[in-house]
Amino acid sequence: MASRVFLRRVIGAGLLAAALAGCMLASYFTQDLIAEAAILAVFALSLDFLATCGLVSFGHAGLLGVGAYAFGGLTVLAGYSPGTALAAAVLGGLIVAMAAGVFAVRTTGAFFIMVTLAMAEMFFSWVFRDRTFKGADGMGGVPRLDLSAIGVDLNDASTFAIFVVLLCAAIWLALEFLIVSPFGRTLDAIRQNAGRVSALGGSVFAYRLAAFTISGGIAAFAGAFKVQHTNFLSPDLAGWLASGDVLIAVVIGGIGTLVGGILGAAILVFLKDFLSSHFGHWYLFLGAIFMMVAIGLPRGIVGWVLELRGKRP
Amino acid sequence: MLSDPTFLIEQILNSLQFSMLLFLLAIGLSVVFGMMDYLNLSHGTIYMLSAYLAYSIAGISGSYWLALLCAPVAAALIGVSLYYLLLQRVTQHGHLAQVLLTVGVIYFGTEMLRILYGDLPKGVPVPAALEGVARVLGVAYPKYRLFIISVGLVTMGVLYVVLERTRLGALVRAGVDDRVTAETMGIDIAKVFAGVFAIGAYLAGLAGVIAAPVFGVYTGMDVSVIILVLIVVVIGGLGSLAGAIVGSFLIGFADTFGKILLPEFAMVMIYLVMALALVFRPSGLMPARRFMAQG
Repeated sequence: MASRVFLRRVIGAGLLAAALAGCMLASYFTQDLIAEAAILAVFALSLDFLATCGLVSFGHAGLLGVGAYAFGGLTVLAGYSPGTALAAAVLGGLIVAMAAGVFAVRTTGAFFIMVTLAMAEMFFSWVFRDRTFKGADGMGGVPRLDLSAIGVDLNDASTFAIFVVLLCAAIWLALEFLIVSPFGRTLDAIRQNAGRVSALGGSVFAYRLAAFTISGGIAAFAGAFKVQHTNFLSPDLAGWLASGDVLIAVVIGGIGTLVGGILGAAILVFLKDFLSSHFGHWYLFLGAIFMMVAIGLPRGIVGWVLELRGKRP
Repeated sequence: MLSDPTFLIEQILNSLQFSMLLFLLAIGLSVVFGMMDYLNLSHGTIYMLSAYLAYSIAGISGSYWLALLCAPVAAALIGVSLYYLLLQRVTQHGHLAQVLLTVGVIYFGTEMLRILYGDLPKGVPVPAALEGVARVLGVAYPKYRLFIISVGLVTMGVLYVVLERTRLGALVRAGVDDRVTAETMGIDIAKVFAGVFAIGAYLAGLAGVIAAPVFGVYTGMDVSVIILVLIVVVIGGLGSLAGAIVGSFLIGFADTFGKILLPEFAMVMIYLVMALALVFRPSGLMPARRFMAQG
C-alpha cells in the first residue's frame, strides 16, 4: 500500500502535468486562469506550511500585500528593475513576518487567528489610505520580470502561466522536503503537543517564529507574482476577504497536506469562473458547495483521499 | 475638539450606543464558542436576516414595535433550525470545517436576501414615540439612540442576574467551564446548549432590529460587523459575560474616538487596542475560568 507521502507526491505530479498541458494546449483565457490558480497555490502553500506547526493565520493576505506593494512600489515608483524588486519583496516579507511573528506566535488557536487578522488589517488600512500607492484607487503599470536574456517572454500568457506553474512546483517540492526534515518533524511535533516539545528542550517559540518567517517570505513571493499577473496593485490584495479566500482554498484541499492547498486553489479559481460565467446569483451555489464540502469532507479532499489509504505515515 | 464638553458627551453617548450593539452580538458568539468550541461566523447573518425581517414587518404592518417583538423571535427560530440542520454536523471537526461551513452559510444567506430584496439598501423609520431629541446633561441627543443604549443596559442586567443568580445560569457556567464533568453530573449539556444558542440568536436578532433605523439594512452588514464582534470576543475572553461587556466597551469607544482622533486610520485604533490587549493578556481580559490557563 502506498504511503501518505508517496500519495501526496503522486497527486502533486498529476496536478503539475495537468497544469502544464493546460498552459500549452488551452485557450488564452484558460491559461490566464491557470496562472491565477498557480499564484494562489503558492500563497496557499505558505499558509499550509505554517499550519504544520499548528498555527492557522487569518491575516496572511497582509504578508502577500507586503510582497505586492514592495514589488509594485519599487518598480513603478522607484524605477528599480523587476529582479531587484522581487528580491526586495521576498526580503520584506521575511522581515515583516519575523517582526510581526515575535508578537503573533505567542498566541495560538482562535487568538492567533485574530491577532494575524488585526495585523493584516492594519497594513490594509495603511495602503488603503496612503496616497503614495494611490490609496483605494490602486496603481497600474506594474511590469513583469524581464527574462529576455534567456529568451523567455513573460508577457506572453502561455509562457507566464508555465513559468508560475513551475515556480509553484519548485516551492511545493522544497516544502515537501522541508516538512520531512528534522526541522519539519519538530514543527509537526509542536502541532501535536507543544508542551511535550517544550519539556524535551525544544524552543516552541523559536520554531514557530521560524515557520512564520518562512511562510511570510513565500506569501510575499506570491504577492510579487500576483501583481505581475494583473499588472495592478490594489489594497484588496491585502484585505481580509483575500485572507479568507486562501484559507478556504487550503481547507477545501485539506489542511496539513501541502498538495491540498494547490488543489484547493485550482478548484476555487476554476469553480468561481465557471459559476460566475454560467449563473446569476452564483454565490448561492458557491455557498452551497462550501457547506457540502465542510460536512462531507471536513478534512478536505486530499485529507479524505489520504484517510482512504489508511493512517500509515 | 475634545475639550468641548458638548462634543465629548455626544461622542461618549455614540460610543455607548455602538458598544451596546456589539455586546448584543458578542455575548451569543462568546458563550457558544466557550461552551461548544464552535466558531460560528454566520452569527452576523442572523443579525442581518433579522434586520430584513424588521424591514418587512414594519413595512407591511406599519408598526416598528411589532417588528421589534417578532423579528428577534423569528431570528432565534431560524438560528436554532440552522444549528440543528447544518452547523452541528461539524461540531466535532474543528474550527476550520466550521469556518468553511459558516462562510458557506454567509454566502448563501447574503445571496438569498439579494434575490428577495434586491441590492439597494433599505431604511426602517424610527418609531414615532422615539422621534426627536432628548436632553442629556444639557446636550441634545436623539431619543432613539438613547433607546438603543437602554436596551443594551437592560440586557446586560438581565443576563447578569440570569447567569450569576439562577440555576439556569449555573448550568450554563458549568457547561462553559467543564462540559464533560457537567455531563457526568447528569446535566444535559446538549439541551442547555440549544437554549444558549437560541438566546444568542435572539439577541443577534434584537441587535439587527434596533440597528436598522440608524445604520440601514443592506447585504454585507453582517460581514462588516462580525469582524468587530470577533475582536470583542477575543479581547474580552471566551465564554464570559464580563469579558463580552468589557470587550464591547473597549471596541465601541476605540472605534468612535478613533474616527475622531485619527480619521485617516480609524481601524488602526481598534486593531492597536486588540494587539496590545493580547500581547499582555493572550487569553483575553476576563475569560471564563477554563480559558484562563491558556497562552
